[in-house]
Amino acid sequence: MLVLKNVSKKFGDFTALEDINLEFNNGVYGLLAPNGAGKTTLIKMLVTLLFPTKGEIEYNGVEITSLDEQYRNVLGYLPQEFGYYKNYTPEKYLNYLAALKGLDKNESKKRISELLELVGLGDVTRKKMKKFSGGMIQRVGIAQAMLNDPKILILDEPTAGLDPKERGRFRKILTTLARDRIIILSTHIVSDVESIANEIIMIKNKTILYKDTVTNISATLDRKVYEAEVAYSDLYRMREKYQILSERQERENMTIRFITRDQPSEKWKMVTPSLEDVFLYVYEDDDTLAGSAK
Amino acid sequence: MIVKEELLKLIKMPIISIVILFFIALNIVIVMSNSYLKEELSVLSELVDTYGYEINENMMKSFGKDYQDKVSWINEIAPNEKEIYQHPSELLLDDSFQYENRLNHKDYQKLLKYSVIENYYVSAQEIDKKYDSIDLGGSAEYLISTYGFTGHAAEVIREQYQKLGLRLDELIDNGEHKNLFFIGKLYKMHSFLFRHIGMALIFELMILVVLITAAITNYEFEHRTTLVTYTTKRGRKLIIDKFLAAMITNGCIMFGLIGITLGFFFLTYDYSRFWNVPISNFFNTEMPLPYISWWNLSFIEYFIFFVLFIIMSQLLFMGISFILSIYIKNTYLVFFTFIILLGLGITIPGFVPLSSSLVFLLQCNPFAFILNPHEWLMGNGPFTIYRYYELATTVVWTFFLGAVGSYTVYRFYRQQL
Repeated sequence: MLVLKNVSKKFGDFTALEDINLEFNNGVYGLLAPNGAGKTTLIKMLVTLLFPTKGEIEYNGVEITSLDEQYRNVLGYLPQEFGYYKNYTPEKYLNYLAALKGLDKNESKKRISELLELVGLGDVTRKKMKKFSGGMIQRVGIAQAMLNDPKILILDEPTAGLDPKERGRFRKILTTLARDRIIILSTHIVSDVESIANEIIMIKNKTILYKDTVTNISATLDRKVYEAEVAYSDLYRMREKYQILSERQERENMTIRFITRDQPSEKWKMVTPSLEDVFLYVYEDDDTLAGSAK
Repeated sequence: MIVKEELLKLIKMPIISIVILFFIALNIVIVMSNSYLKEELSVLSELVDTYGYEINENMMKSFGKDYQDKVSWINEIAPNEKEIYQHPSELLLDDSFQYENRLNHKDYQKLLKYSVIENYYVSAQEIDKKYDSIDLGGSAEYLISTYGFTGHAAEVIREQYQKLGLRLDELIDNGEHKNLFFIGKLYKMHSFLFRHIGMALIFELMILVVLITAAITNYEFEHRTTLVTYTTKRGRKLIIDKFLAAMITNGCIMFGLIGITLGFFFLTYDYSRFWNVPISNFFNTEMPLPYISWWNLSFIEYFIFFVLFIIMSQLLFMGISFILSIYIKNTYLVFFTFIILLGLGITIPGFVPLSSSLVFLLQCNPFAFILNPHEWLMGNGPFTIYRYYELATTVVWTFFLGAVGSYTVYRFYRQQL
């Protein structure tokens, strides 16, 4: 079990995160917040690249810095900007990282081959990575994170650069892996985590806003999300009055999805809120929220 | 395994191989620049083969007898029968001989060789006289007035010259000065080997050592792989592997460059008969004052210390660049910062008043240390005149950099990346 106790992180006078309390058990956790909310700071503390200004991070009851390499031995991490050696082949690069992860040569050879197959790079294991596309590099990154069969797998924006097919494949891999480990997946793309995460963590104003299941978080907007078909002439007025979640064009009219606590009109259709609705609602500027669902 | 991987990263940097090859070529050119002296230098080898290198009464008797035979031959071939020549050089300087040029090539070469032998024979006879006339007190005063030392610093010079005087007496008692060696005032082989070639090696190795240490220490930062590599099980201890890889690579390069350069030197210039000649011998003198080593060292012993000090200085430079790399994290910035430190290390002692003994203390830095390698372990350098200057500088800086380096690594373990 990975636990954050009253963790705060400051960079000089700037506070990035304040008084964070979290608990992770086996399963997939989606860390969902827009860019700049503090996701990467939180993740960097979890992987010992940054150290909390206040509070403690414990794994199985022991502070992770005291555990040192024992902790990193059970850790797999894909950073947001995955760096690699351009002139290395994926096989060679993973070999090097396997050595850093303490895997023995025979063990790592087998593991690397399996993982490269798993991420669909089995046929380019000896091709220099400088010839790889962004998606292929990201898949090498995913493979390296899983090299040591980690008990804690932390992925920062792992689907960046992947095409829809690759994203689907990636989600399947994660679901398989999630049974006996903690997977923390940081993203600002709701669909990446909506279907696979056991719990979603949302950060706002430097603190944890939600840590709950997709259903429970979505339920916070129950009976507040509607869809309505409006004429173009009414669109501006609707935008002014309500927080619009999405708009789609249908013949001469627009179908809008919005949030309100007002008495619903007969023409509106109440819909089941999704995680994306909550995300858009939570991270909408306060100014735009004025006069809407508040 | 990890160290091997780090080594491979360095080996695959083409710039390193290119620079090494360039330096090897440059050193060969430097070594060859004195090759025109080879024939003259070989005359001494023949003398040593015949008489040994130790100058004593028996040796001089035997040498003198043979020399007289050579003088007789000179007078036989001399064009002017009325003229009696005492030395081969007199014939060579005789205008009538020069113009008439009656000798065949073989005899002319023989005459030239005899004039070289004359240098050794005549000089050998003057050794006692020369050493009797050495006035170290006067040399100290000359040094003080030339450099402008005053106050306490001037006292230090006088004090050290007194100590050097004791060593000079010991040297004379040991007979260290009475040994044949290449004539320093003519060939300057001591400066050639220990100063010119030594300085070339030191600065070339310095460039390589700083670049290699910085490149491997900063490799992950410059390839943006820090976040992946430093979160593995090995974690930030990877920096130790990098240090070891830098040490091994630098060691191999030192071994290679020093070995090739000096190997080529000794293949070009035959020192095989002089390994055991004391370095403080009279013939080695290049300046008015002969070289006086603080200890009785043979040429080979002095040479070994010379190589050891080159290696020590490079290890200190490696330590400095390793520490800089952890803070700066960019190879080129580390290199330029190192150059600035080098400049400061050399120039700062120059700003200290010549009345303060601080002027000697500030010379005890690795950058000032490398400026006069031909005077290492000698009492001849005005600013480095202390007997234990080399030992103190290298040992103190090794401990100092070891302590700063350990603290820097400890800090790196807790650094926010």
